[in-house]
Amino acid sequence: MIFDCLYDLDEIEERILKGQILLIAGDAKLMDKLPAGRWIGGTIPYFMTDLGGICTDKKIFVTDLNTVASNIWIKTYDENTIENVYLDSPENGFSFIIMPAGSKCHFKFSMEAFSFENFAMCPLVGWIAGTHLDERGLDKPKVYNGINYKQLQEDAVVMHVALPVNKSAEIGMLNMFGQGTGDTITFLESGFSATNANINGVRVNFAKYILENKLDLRLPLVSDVNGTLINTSFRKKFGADGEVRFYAPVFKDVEYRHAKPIENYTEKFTKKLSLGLGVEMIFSCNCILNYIYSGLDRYSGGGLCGPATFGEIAYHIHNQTVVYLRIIHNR
Amino acid sequence: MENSQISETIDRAIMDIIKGKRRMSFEFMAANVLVKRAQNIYAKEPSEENLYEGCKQVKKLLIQNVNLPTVKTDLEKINSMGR
Repeated sequence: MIFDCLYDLDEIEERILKGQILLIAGDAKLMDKLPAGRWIGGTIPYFMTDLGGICTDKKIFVTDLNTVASNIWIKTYDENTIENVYLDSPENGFSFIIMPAGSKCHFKFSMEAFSFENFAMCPLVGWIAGTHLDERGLDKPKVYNGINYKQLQEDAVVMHVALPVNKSAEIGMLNMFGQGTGDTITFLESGFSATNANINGVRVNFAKYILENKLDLRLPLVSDVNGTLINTSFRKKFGADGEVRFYAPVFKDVEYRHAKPIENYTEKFTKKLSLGLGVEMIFSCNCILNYIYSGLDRYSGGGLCGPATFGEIAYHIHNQTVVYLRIIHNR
Repeated sequence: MENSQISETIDRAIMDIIKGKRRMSFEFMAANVLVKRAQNIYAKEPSEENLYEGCKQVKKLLIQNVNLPTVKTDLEKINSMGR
């Protein structure tokens, strides 16, 4: 072990064979070698650790649920069954979900999670699996169902975790971005890409608008819904037909604004984190775009350990956020 | 806070939030998310049924999680709105 949360393959093999309940993240080269057991996982080589950000295909990130869970059950969901994910959740506990970036399940969940039966009635937390950014288009992201040892490229894997009566789970999120004061942007259709958009009510080609207005694509679009700010991040490259592509869907008729730039992001992030977010935190994940764009690869401390992901899940999909799960001991 | 304290006053406050008459950002993230969904549904079809259903779900969520400190804070905020 080099950091508090990253382990060698043989250590994790041993723990799985002992029957430990684990959430695992790592490069596919290592993940493919793990034995069957009470675990789920996904591919990603980027991690936040106590000593800073790291990209590695030599270590595996593990969240240990042995001292937390009273019972678990692991299920795989495809694009047709993912709508049942909240119905299968424990009465007291949480559900942990991982799905591959760009998969059918990712698309369905992103577009429709809000309409799933029992939506948000139980904490659903997790992340979107990815690959090394240099390998995009070559390797496909994968998730793993440890119970039957299946590797999945289109489906989601979920560990439903029941907690003892004296414990409760609560999801939190840290979003550093706010809406800028620029144009109001709305989209004609919901989806992961857009060719046209309405800018202050006037229909334009969105890619042309971005280029002409020199929009910094490292900053997300931000919508304000009931005081909750939701980010939608841009993919750097436009699609083959010039469409603008996103890491999460934009929604028809929702008003977006380009995010306000943040100076000294890392400093402000550290300050916000020091306000006690780390208390009772058992898992966190951070968006890969925060890691790359905002200098968080050099950030250390604050107890923020976890995968740097292609999307965060806190009830539904988020971008460019930190999502975390806390276990509260009830009084 | 006891479940019984999640009163009719709170029902009215939650309905007002769903209708957009009042604005409140919940400390408890799940409540925020669920209210947001209820608001969207009600905005698309502003029926009494949608209003009651949204309110019922938010209230059920708060009751289920009444032990959480964030929910206690939210209930206090909602209560004070009704005063």
